[in-house]
Amino acid sequence: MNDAEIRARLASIFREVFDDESIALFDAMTAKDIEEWDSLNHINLIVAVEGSFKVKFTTKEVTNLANVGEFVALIASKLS
Amino acid sequence: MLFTSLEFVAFIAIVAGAYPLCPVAWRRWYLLAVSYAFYCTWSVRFAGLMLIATAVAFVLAKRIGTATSEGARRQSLAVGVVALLLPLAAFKYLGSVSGFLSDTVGGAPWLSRVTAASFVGAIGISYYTLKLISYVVDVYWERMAPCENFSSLATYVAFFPQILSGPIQRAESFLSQIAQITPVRPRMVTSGLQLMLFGFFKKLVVADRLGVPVDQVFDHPHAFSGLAPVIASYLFALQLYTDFSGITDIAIGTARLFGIESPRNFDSPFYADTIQDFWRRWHMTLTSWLGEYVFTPLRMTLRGWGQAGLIMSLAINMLAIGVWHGPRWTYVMFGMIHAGYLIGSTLTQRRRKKLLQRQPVLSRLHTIVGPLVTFNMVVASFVFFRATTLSDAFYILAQAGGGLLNAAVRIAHGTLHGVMGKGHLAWNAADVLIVCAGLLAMEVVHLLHHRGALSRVTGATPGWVRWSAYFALGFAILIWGEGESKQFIYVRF
Repeated sequence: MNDAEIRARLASIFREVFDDESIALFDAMTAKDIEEWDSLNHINLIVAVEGSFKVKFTTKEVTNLANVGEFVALIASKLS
Repeated sequence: MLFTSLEFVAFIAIVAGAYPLCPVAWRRWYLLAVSYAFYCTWSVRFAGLMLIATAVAFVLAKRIGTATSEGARRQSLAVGVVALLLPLAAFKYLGSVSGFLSDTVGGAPWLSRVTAASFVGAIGISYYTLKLISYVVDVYWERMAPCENFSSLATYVAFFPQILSGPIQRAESFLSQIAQITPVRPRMVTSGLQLMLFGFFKKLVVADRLGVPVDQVFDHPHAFSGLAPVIASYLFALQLYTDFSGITDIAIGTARLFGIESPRNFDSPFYADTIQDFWRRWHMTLTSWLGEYVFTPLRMTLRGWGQAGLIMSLAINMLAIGVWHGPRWTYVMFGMIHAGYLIGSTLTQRRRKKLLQRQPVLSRLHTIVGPLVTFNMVVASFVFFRATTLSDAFYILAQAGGGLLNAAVRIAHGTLHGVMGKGHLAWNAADVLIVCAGLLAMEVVHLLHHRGALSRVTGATPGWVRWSAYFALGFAILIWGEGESKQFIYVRF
């Protein structure tokens, strides 16, 4: 799966978790860009991504994610 | 040394006035020295404890940074967290636990007396312990490299504007500022002084005045009935907010005099439209600390449990928020009430959102009703936060419920007679007017800040208007400031 495919699937997970069809991802996007992206919804997002991509993240990886670009790179590294 | 004392004003005038004269290379040491000098005005003995705790975190973070195996890293992390939590547990909680045991099964009453007395001296321990734990965990999570300079870490921990009641700044944010100390920009000093003035106004004019009827009702709840418990409950919510955001403004403003930016702690919390939104805006540095270092690891560990994992993680996190304030059942109850609120809010979040999307009228109504309902839920929970005992809290809530019902019935019958019930609140029309005007002025500033328009508005305001406002605030403090200011509520935590 290439980065564009990861990005597309990740975008649909974001829209599902935050229940907002207008969300458009960009690499520099952070929790500050989505009002409801708090620590509670962050883990909901992680669980949804783990289920969709069939990968597992550690707490360290989850807490160290700085933005969407890093999230895409992390998923890509897990899939490779 | 209280933040509201004349000694503190003199201390700030001297140490901030002398700061520009100190060579830039020495400023880190200067901040360390004045921070420990400030702490020693509270307790010399416990300054030693803070230094030892800093040394423990410094050494263990270095070991985590240099360890070659994951096992060794994890071992240093565990030793660090336990070693840092032990003094907090000993001075904050052991007194109550041993007191409870000696009352129930017999034991050593002297232990509870000694530890309870010691906690009074161990000022700031609840705040600097969290700072040190997050530093060690951040090094373990490889968010930052171990600090190479012990004096920098010691300054971070003891930094005097933040030691009494936060905000709880993260190590990387503080250390990156102190690593590149430059001459303080005049604009930063000005904004620091403005914020300090605003903080003194909130505390001395508004919070302390609100505290008078609040103390009356909460210290002697059985002497009041009718609307007095209702009024006192709302006033306490406002008192807590003005008191805590007041000391935070003084802390952030003081830090700016030395060129240090601190994180925000409040973002107009009483306008939150859900309880989740409230916790994103109230005591933000504690909430985000617990979110990252307690809730996230717990939720990650329990994520296979589905909704049960979510419920348990929320319950433990909110219990931790309650107990962090102290070893009292009222704080436990406060935490559990908010756990209940958050669990209910989280589990129904999606359905509520869909309903509001389908019903535009409801959605518009929610913009008004949401904040009102959330504010009232918070006020009810704060009754437990302020009451001396659980039975006092239940009594006040029961009286408040009865008082509201009684008032509604009497008003329906066209009379106000007997609405206030027994007891007389020591407040006059002038107090009501001063508090209302103070809250209005505060909220205008808070709303401008919330919308990111404060600096634009103040920048566009003519100088004479701004200076008139500063003088008005200063005169308000001198004329209407409560003469014998009370300790800030959050200093005792």
